[in-house]
Amino acid sequence: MSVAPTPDNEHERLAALARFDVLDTLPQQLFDDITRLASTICGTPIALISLVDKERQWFKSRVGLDVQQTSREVAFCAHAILDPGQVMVVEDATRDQRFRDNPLVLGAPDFRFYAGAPIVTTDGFALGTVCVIDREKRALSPAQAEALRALSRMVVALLEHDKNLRDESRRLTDRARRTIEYLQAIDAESLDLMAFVDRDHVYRYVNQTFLDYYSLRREDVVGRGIAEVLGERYYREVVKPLIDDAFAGRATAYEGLYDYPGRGPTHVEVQYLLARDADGEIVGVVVRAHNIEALKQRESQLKSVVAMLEARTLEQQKFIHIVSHDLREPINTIVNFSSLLADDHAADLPAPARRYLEFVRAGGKRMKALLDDLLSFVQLENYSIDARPVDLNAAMNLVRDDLALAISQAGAQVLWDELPVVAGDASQLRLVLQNLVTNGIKFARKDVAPVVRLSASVAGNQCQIMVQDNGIGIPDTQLENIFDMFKRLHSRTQYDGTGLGLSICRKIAELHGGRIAAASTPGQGSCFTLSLPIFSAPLKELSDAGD
Amino acid sequence: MPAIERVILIDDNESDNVYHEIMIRRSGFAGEIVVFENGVDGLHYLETTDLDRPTYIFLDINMPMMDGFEVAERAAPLLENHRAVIVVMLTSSASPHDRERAGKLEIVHGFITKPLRVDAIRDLLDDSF
Repeated sequence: MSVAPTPDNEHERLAALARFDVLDTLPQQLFDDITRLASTICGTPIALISLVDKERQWFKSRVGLDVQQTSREVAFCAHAILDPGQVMVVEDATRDQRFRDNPLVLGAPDFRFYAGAPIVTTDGFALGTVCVIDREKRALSPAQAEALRALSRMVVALLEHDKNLRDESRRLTDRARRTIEYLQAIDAESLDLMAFVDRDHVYRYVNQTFLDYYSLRREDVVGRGIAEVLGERYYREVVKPLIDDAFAGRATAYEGLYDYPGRGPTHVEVQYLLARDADGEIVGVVVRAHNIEALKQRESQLKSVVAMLEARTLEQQKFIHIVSHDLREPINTIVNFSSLLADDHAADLPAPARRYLEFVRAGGKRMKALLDDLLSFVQLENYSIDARPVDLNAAMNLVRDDLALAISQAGAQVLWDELPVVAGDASQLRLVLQNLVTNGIKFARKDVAPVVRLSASVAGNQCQIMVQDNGIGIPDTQLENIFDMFKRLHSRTQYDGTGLGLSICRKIAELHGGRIAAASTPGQGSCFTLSLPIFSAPLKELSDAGD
Repeated sequence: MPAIERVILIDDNESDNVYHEIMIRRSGFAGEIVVFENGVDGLHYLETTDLDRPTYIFLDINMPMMDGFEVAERAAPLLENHRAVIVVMLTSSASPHDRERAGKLEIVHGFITKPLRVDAIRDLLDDSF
């Protein structure tokens, strides 16, 4: 007997065969169909799909033969694969040098005739054959040979198709496994409790955090109903309505304080989210509980700080209010009686006494002014504007009346163009204008009669009121901080004042949703610009006016 | 309305009372001036005096024990049918809150920031003719 030599590419050929992962697999209908066709077409009792492994040939499919495999040494197919392009035909094995002393010929199963078409992969490896065998000697017609070849090509196609399917499903499986690994890793590090609950309200998945918080083992939870895990009553009264809501499409979220057995009381934000599969079908609800303990703590810290600050501010305001109120009485007394003394009895006093009395009176007046400003400033904190139409022309008339004495003493002129009607608080806006006009008169240049001129421009629903004077002006370096509290740029003997006037102006402007700004050319004058919202009459009033 | 015959000052601050009395006299008022340094004495006086005489009451808000608002509230039933008595609140600082509160009391006719000045007194007394 001559044993078939191994092909030159045997190593790669075996590797290719291994890649198909077909050896020792179960029978498959399509392969069996092929052997049955081969047997029928060639009229032989036996047909095989034989794959030549390293030491054996193994039959993927067989007709008319009981054995599943034989050793490679006796395999006819081992010869057939040596020439992948040819159908090997042995008409009478007893007369073939290679096979006449083959045990399969000498005894049962008494092979005489053999024809095998090599199964050649697309990359050129002959894995085995589709072969037909008879116990009688016979010949193979060219048509039958061609049919065998076609069947072997079908086998290749089938093997490759199976291999592709397997590869694809392995890729999918791998990807799914990796995804699960990623998700589990993310889950394990998560501060959130996660659970997937199916339509029957049974836990299908929970993460490690969930188990830690509830002090439960996975097998205590997964596959069990919520009622069983969390208790019937809690399930019925709390969880079930929420899950029902979620399944009904009403996603719910709420905050709560829960006493988790494995964690203690913890603030969590719980969400019930509807889970759908790729087809949009509702498959369950994801319950996510997010630990907001740290957030809650910070929130309560913040609240207590805010409350403390509010209390302190209120305390301070109350203190200033009381102090200024209580100080006013003695100051009034000083002012009243020093004035009375100066008016009625000055003539009786020696010159130094008259001078000292004047100091007392001036000091008292200044303190009174300071208290007035301080009090109006404090009252402006906590003040909200009830915006009403304010005609600034009328306001200026009142300001001019109030300042009549100062205007005439300074020989000043106070002029204004047509001013708009703005939205705001009349008495506050009057105070702003009065402060600005007073400043314009007060900070006059020596020997230059003060002129304070007001003009206005309107843009959209905002207007700007310009208060221009011809006084000493303000150095650039000071422009920024003139609105600060108690900021005074001059000594009292030069220019009297409390240092609160412009702070009050700014406060009032801000309360009106406006701004105040200053510009100046030192030695020529200053210009204060007050931005305020225009009063726009409601439409209804306009139409009423037209009736 | 007939000329004012009497002015009642109710104020715990003695110096204010002295000063206001001087100012009231300087305004030309020649009638009776009655001074009380607390609300209790003032109320007691109102209970016993003739309330049909044309009278001006200057009532300080900020007083210990019983403040001006309380005095006004207690005086209200006494003065209900005596339109000849006019009550004006006095305060050393015009807080909007106080002003609002004074405005709600029916018997309070006015609200003046201290000190009383001659022209202001003159206006008040003249207006009541």
